[in-house]
Amino acid sequence: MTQTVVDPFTFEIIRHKLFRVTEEAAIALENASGTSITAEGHDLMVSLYRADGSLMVGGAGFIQHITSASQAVKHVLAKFSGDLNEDDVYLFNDPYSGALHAPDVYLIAPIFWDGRIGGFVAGFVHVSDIGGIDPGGFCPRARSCFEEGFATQGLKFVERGKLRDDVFQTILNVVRDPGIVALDLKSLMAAIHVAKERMLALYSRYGLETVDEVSTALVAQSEARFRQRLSELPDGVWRSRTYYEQEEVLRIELAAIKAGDTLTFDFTGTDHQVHNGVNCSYWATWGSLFATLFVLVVPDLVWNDGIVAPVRLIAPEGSLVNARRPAPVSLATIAMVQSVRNLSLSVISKMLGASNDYVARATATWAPTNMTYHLTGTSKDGASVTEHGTDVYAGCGGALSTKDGLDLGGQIHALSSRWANAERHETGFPYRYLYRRLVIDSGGPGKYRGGLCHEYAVIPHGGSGPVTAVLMPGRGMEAPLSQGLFGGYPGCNTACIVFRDGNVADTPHDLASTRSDCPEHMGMGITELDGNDILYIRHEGAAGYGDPLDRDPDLVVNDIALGLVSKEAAREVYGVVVAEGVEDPAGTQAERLRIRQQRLGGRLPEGRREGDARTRYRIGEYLQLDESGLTVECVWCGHALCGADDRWKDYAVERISPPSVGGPFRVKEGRFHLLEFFCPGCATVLDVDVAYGDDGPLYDTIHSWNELTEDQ
Amino acid sequence: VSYVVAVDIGGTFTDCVVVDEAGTMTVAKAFSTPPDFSEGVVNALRAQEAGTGLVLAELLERTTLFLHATSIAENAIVDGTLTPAGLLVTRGFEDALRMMRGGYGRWSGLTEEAKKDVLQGEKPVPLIPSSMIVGIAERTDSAGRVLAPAEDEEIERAVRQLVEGGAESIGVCFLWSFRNGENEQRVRKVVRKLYPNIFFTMSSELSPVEGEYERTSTVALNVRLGPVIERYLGRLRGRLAEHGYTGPMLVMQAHGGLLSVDAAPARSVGMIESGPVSGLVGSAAIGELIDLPKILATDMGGTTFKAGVVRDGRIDVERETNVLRYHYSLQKMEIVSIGLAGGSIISLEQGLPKIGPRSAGALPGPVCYGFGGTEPTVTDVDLLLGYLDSRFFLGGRAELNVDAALDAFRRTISDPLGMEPIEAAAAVQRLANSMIYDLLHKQTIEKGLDPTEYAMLSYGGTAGMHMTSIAPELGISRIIIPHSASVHGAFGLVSADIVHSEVTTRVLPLPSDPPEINAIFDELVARVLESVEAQNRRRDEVVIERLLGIRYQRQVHAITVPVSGREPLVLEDLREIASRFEALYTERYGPEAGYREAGMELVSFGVRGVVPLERPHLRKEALGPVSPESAYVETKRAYFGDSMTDARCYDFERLRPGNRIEGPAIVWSPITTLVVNPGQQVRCDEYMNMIVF
Repeated sequence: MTQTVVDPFTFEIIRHKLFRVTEEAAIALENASGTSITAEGHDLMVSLYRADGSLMVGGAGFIQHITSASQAVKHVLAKFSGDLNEDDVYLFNDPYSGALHAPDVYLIAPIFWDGRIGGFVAGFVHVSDIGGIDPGGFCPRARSCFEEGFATQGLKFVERGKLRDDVFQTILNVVRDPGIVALDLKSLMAAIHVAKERMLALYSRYGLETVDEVSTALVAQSEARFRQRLSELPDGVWRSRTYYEQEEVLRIELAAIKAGDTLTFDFTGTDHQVHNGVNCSYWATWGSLFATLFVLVVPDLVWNDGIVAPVRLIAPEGSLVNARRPAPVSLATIAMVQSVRNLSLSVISKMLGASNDYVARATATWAPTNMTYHLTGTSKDGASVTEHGTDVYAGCGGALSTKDGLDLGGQIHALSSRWANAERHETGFPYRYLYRRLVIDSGGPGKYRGGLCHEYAVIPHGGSGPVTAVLMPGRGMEAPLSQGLFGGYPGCNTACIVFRDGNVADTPHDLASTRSDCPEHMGMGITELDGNDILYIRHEGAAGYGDPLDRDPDLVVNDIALGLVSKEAAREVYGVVVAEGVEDPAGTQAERLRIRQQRLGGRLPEGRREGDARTRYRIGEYLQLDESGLTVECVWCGHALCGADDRWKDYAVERISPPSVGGPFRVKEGRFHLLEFFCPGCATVLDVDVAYGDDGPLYDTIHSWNELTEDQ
Repeated sequence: VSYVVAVDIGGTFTDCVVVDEAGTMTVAKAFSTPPDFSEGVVNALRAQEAGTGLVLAELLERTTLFLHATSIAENAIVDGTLTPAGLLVTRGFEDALRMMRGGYGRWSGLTEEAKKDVLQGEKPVPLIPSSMIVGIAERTDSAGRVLAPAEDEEIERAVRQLVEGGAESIGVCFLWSFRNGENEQRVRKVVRKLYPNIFFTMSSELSPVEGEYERTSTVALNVRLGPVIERYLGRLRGRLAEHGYTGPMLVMQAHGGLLSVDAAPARSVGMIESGPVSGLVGSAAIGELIDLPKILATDMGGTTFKAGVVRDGRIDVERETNVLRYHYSLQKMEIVSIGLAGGSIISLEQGLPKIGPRSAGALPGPVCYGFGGTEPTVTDVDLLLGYLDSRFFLGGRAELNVDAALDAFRRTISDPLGMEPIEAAAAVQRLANSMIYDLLHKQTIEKGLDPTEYAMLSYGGTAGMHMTSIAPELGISRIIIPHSASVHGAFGLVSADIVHSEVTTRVLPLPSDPPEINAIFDELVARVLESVEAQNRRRDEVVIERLLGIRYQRQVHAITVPVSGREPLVLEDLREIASRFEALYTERYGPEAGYREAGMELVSFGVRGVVPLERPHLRKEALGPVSPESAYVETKRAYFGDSMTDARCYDFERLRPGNRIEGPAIVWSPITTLVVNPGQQVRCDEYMNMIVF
């Protein structure tokens, strides 16, 4: 128990209340908001910070903003020192000193008690426009941050309780849709108001000193428990790599180095920053790392500076993940921030998956592309209206070591996101949905299957004139971006197609029934949609865990019954033979043997080893060191691959396959491949790496395994 | 003499209240009898004989109205004993149910803390499997224009397919049907022609509000629940008929009003949690009786703590209504609950005390019951603190074992914490109280309500030992333990009215042309009157209430503002409504949060038709002497403030109206134990409510 003079009961009460403050403020923000992304998508965040700007309690919403807002508070503190007054509110959105990109606006308010600052509340929303070259805040055409709109390192937005009209009007003057941006900012004011009221009530009830003492103790508690957890995990280096396809293919690499009770994230090897806004700034990378770390490793602890302390980041300056000003960064949240999230999830999961105690917290990649759109159009009565898509929030869950990923299970960093109903979107914008449905076979195959994604199509409807669409797809169309864990395969590829003058009259209801003479495959950019132009988007499936041939056939049969997996994929990918809804066990056995044999190039595989042979030297689902700690062996068949110090991938059977080996909606041939590594004994797939061109395997190293220490 | 009879079926007990013409109330209780609950009803009706002196047949012969609340709806959902059903939806949207708006399905209904553990999130199994959902190539747009009519032939094929696939009921939910129900009506025609007797629900009738996911889910829940409710109510009516009652029967709805038994199955979803809501309605009635317009109602029994707010006779409705994380968009009065009550288990997690949510339930129960419980519960702590007494507890039906409770508490809690048992028990009590406090805080202060303006009404067996300590923390200075506390749900039934509501969604600027607004209201009023007449009530009995959902233009969510003003409304009334909306907004979100420049708009229109029913005229008794001495039992040591203190203890049954007791004191009744803290007083009013102040 944490040493403190506050009794444990008061401690619990205050801990509880601090979190509740952020929750209540987030609800106020949602209620007061004017956009589907905030009110329905919950693309928002409210957190509490201590008097020095360090994180007190990370709250609800989009959690990659939690540490970024801490930077923002520190900036405001430094800039306005001596001029910070009671009931002031500050506005901050500069991506090079804290924010993720310019449209992510933070409002920050000091909370005064007895004439001194007790702490800060900071909230964020993605405003509907920030005055960049392209509408909506995402600017595909920008070539520097000067074309990405208004950015400030701190403005006094409210002075001693009074909104500064000069500042407010200036902001509204530089944005495209001032009405909705005004509502965005006003809704943040509602959240700030609610959080402050609750905090003042807390100070009044328990005294600032007591609340401070509890938050100090909470930071110490989180740090102690996080360090303890780290020290129980193996020491080693785990690597991951991902790509970003545009004209050139970008490569982003990450190694997680865990030593004792510290964790270092090293992006050395990542490509240089590029000409368009897919780059991200240092603090955006920092925030994105924590989004996955919080959820995977410490969901039960208070998210505060105690979690931040043991972590170090190496991000080469001028690289994609630490862009130098004035490089454009407005696409970061749907580009590099997402890549960082995918990579950190992958390396952390491999680390967790190398521990018998923590493997349950390892996960294959969740929804990996964050693909969305922004529309501008004209309503019937001539008003200009804008709309952000919310389909992206549907997401999909990666598979875990004991269960399938959740179909449309959301995104890992968005604690409470959801899409807006079609009827909600159709109320706010002159268009309509043709369909919105699950994509069969989209989940990454594995012993546990990745969650399915969905596809949808919209057309302009009920407005006047064409609709301008800022489209932000462009990655995941060719490269599989979800990374399977320990033999799991990636989910399907994405697609963004405009069916010019499509067959709207036929009421198309899925991709197969959607047609036009000239379908256009879209990349990142801007296009116009006319009345019968159908905009079709397919998201990406989440990745699987373990070898699909290791999947319980009953689960496959159930997936077929529910329309989640096709009979063809069941047979080809899972080796499960089903006739008229019933499994043919003999057929399955034969099919699985055939596939294993094929993996070994025709050689007969070894059978499954009897009994539970798990040692404490776990490498992954199928690999471990034997009891002696000297040999890498296959858990499934007992085959000894190599010595403990050898790189096991060099001793596995390697096959290079197209992504389509995982099922339909995956690229059949192109620049990206899957590197499959099979056990030379039983042909179990041990790992699947995604590689571009001649890129080779990723090698992880484990130095030592640690014991679970007694929880104090 | 004629009677109104009310029966409320709960998990453990079936409660009965009988009110005669003079307003005299008789109460009775029997054990509930799952799975055929109608037997428990008959037993409870038999039990009232002790009060009225009438045997069952005599009572029912003279009964003019039978009122009913039941937990059968939520039970069927929890137990999964629902009807196989089929669903027709707009083609292309067949997956709406199982997609659950993406991530929403993972986190909705979880606490904020549970939402943080994203990996552990699960979606509930869809109410209707995809094999029983068929898409129809139809479409209506947001303006209500039919773009593609639903064709009879396609509907017929779909309905046959579903019935042949095992559906025993059929539902339909098409996009934008709440703007134009034409295509859904075509489905109804076909279904009625093919299967005249099958249970059928259409979304444009049950829940005509925006949001296809929630509307579909509402229909799905209703078609799965409907036949269950239909059968149950049929059985109950049959059972009552056997005993001679064939008169009118009204069933409680979670919106707080009564609905005729004939109309109830079509609106089965409305019965979910209607029992606890009935208790809330009873609280409002007591508030009216003893002139307390603002009430915080709290119910603390064995497994859950429930709370609701009554404001000037009104009860708030719930946000994102769901049951077991299945959403539905019918109005339900807001009841919040946490798994913290007498049976909640106390444990240590990483050295910190935790209470609940695990409950020892009735079996094995608290350690002190001696039914085999080994983990200490809140009731054990209450016993250790000296509040409980075997002679009075549950009417003397359970012998309380202090030593066993002390042993268990020492072993699992106080010794590991290195604390004295009493000190630790008092700390547990404080923690339990603070958790309840947080919940109540959320329901009051965090909603902009000032609890100091409220009285707390408290019922359920465990409430009396906790609420007298929690209420002052919230600044509440009056706590009422109603005389009806033991059968409060049934009491709520005899306090309720017949209610019928209609809502519609239409976006109009505020202020705008009054005739257009009046026309919308007129249409809703006409629909309300029609359905009230269908329940054999006259139009002139109905009191009409109008409600408007208002927001700043382009906002997503609205605030509901009751309409007062002329009928029909004139421009001035609309201006007044607008300024009331702004005042409400500022109160909630602060002075700089409103965006007046955007203008305001109306989004939803609601009409509530209320047919007031006769209330029991609870008889006032003359106030007697102040001294409670005739009820004095003994002086006992119990925990008050921060130490063990001598407290005077009283027997509730022997207290008289007018008696006053000063704290520290304990009052024992067969249904609850009331702890009166030092500095507090309790007074028995002329209705034998205990009022702590």
